[in-house]
Amino acid sequence: MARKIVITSGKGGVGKTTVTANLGGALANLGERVALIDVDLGLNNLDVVMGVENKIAYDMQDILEGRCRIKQALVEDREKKNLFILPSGNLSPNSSISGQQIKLIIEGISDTFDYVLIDCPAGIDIGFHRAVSCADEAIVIATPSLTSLRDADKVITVLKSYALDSIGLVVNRARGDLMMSEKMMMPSEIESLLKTELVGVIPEEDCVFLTGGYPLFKNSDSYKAYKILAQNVHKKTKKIFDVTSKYSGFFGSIRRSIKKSI
Amino acid sequence: MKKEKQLTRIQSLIENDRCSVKDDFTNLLIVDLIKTLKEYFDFNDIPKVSVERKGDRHLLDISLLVINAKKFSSIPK
Ligand SMILES: Nc1ncnc2c1ncn2[C@@H]1O[C@H](COP(=O)(O)OP(=O)(O)OP(=O)(O)O)[C@@H](O)[C@H]1O
Ligand SMILES: [Mg+2]
Repeated sequence: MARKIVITSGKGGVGKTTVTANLGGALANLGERVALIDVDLGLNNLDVVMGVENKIAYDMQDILEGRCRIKQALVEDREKKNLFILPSGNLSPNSSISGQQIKLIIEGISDTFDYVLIDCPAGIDIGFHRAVSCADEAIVIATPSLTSLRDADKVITVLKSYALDSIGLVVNRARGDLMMSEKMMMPSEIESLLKTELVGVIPEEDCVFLTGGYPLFKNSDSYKAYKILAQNVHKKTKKIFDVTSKYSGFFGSIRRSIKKSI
Repeated sequence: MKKEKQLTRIQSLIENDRCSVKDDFTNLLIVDLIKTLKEYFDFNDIPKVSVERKGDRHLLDISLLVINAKKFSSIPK
């Protein structure tokens, strides 16, 4: 039976789709069978981030209208044989597809996978509820900005009205240099502010842009951070990637001043 | 913006969001609470009151440091 985890945030553009793709990749690296489901109907981008947009033969609508079986609509990752994506297709965000229908699709593949990660749309309206109603667990993504944190808190409040098994927090786009110079809140401060268990910290890195979001360069810090996040999710460990370590000590202070000057 | 300032701002933003009633509501409640609680306790502080949204319910939290509880006989019938 797969663990069904919705990746949500409230605020748009904070990294839900990027986290869905890379957490999926990192869980697949641990040997888990993973399916990524795009429930951001209408603004579906997961296929693009995963780089499989040209491999799509069927989508969610085709499954629901009986034009294909669920497994025919799953698109295999470009590298990993145990990672798949289920694209939503060009549906309207106000599509009449219900959470219940998506839930049935997920149930249909639940035995074949260890993890189903659900990429949720921004906001807390119908699309959000459609995505959350399919999940047993939630991961809330927040960046260290005031607006993102405020929205994350609202989302966490709404998530608490669902009977979820767990709600975890991922701080994305963390800047170690700014944290060292007391200009950005530390992940631990964000964790206590939102009263939600921190399961991962992902650094802000150019490589996310340069790679198109997935797969990340294997020697990058964000790649390492995703590996730790996947272990925390899978083995319930509590390790957190330290974004500040690179900027402490003598060489760190040089790195900080270089970063400051650009 | 310095981190400390960000933290104070976001803390007050979140507190306001979590609190599901307006300031007037809390102020009136505090006045009434003081009236009632004075019958039972001696205290100099003002009760701290928060109404926080908890999923689809609200949690009313009242906290007050009292000097002592009045003797029962002093409670008016
Ligand atoms: N750690 C990071 N470092 C640098 N850039 C990042 C990082 N994480 C995400 N981004 C960038 O931020 C942008 C938004 O990311 P993404 O599309 O994953 O957000 P989203 O929450 O899914 O957005 P939406 O709400 O529109 O669905 C993308 O351009 C992505 O490359
Ligand atoms: Mg997205």
